[in-house]
Amino acid sequence: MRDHLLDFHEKWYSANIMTLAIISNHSIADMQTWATEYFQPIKNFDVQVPFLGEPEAFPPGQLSKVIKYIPIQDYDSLTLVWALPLSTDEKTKPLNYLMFLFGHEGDNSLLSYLKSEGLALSLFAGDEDQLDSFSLFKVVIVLSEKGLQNYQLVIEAVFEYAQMLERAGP
Amino acid sequence: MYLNTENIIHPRADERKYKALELSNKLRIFLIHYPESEKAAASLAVGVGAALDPKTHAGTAHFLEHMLFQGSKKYPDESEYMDFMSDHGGYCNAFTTLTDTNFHFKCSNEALEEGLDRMAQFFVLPSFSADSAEKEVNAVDSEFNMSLQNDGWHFMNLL
Repeated sequence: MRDHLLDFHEKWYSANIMTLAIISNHSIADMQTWATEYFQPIKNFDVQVPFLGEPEAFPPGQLSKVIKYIPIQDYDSLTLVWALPLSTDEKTKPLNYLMFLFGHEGDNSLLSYLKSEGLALSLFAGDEDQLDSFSLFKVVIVLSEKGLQNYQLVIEAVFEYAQMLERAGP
Repeated sequence: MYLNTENIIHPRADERKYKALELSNKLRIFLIHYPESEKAAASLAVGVGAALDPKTHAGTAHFLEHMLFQGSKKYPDESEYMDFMSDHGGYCNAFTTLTDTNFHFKCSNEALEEGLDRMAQFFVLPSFSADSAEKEVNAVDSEFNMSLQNDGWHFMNLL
C-alpha cells in the first residue's frame, strides 16, 4: 500500500498542477521572496491531468427517477437534482442566477409559497461541478410532516416555478 | 511565463494589493497583501484527487493527503506542523475531492515565513514513514466511520 502512495506522489505531485494562495499583512515583495524560496524547489515534470468527462454519468435511462431513503439524521427532505452542462461562463454564471431565484426567501418566492401551504420549513438551492463533464443543480427542501405526506405537491410547485422562470426569461 | 501581474481587477473600496505570478517550476501563485489582516493564511491546491486513485486501491489520494502531514526530511517529527500552527495562534487542515487535493493553514503574521517553509516541505521531500502510515490508515478509517452518520454522503452514493 505504501508503494501505491509513493507512486501516486511521484506521478501526480508536480508543480505545474499546483496553485498557492497567500494572504497576510506582509508586503507583496516579502511574500514573493518566501514563496519563491520555499516552493520553487518543488519538482515539475509537466504532468497532464487526463480528461475526466467520460463515461457519461447520467446516460438516458438514468434520469427521471425518484429515489427514497430513510435518513440517519432526524429530518425529512426532498432534493430535486438536475444534471446540467458545466457552468463555465464566468461572466454570466447562469447557475448562480438560477440559484438566487430558486433560493429566494422573500415575498412571492418558491419558499414563501411552500411555507404558506405548510409544506416546507426551509429551502436551499445550489450547484456543484462534477469532474469535467456536468454540474449538479440541486434544490433541497426540508419538509414539514404535511410536506412529506404530500411530496408530489412540493415537486409540482418547484416545476411550476421553473416553468414560470422559463416563460419570464432572464 | 503563465502570468505575472499586479493588475488584478478589484473593487475600488478594496484596499488590498494583489499579485499573480508563476515560479520557474510552473507553480502558480496568488499573493494578497492585506494591511489590516490579523492573521496570515496560505492554501495550496494540487489539481488531482480521488478520481485518479488506482482502481485496486481506492482512497490513495486521500491517504496521501494524510501522510504528507506526517513529517518531511527537514521536519521529521510527525506532529511538528500541527503543533507549530497551534503554537502560533492558527490551525491547519486539508481535504481531498474527486479533482483536487487542498492543504491550508492559518497562523500569526509573524509565523508565516516559517509556516510556508513547513508546508512546502510536504511537496519537496516528504518522509512517508512506514510507522505513521499504519497510524494514518486508522485516522482515515475513523473519518470514514464518522461520515457514515452523515446523510449527505449516503445521498451522493445513491445518486
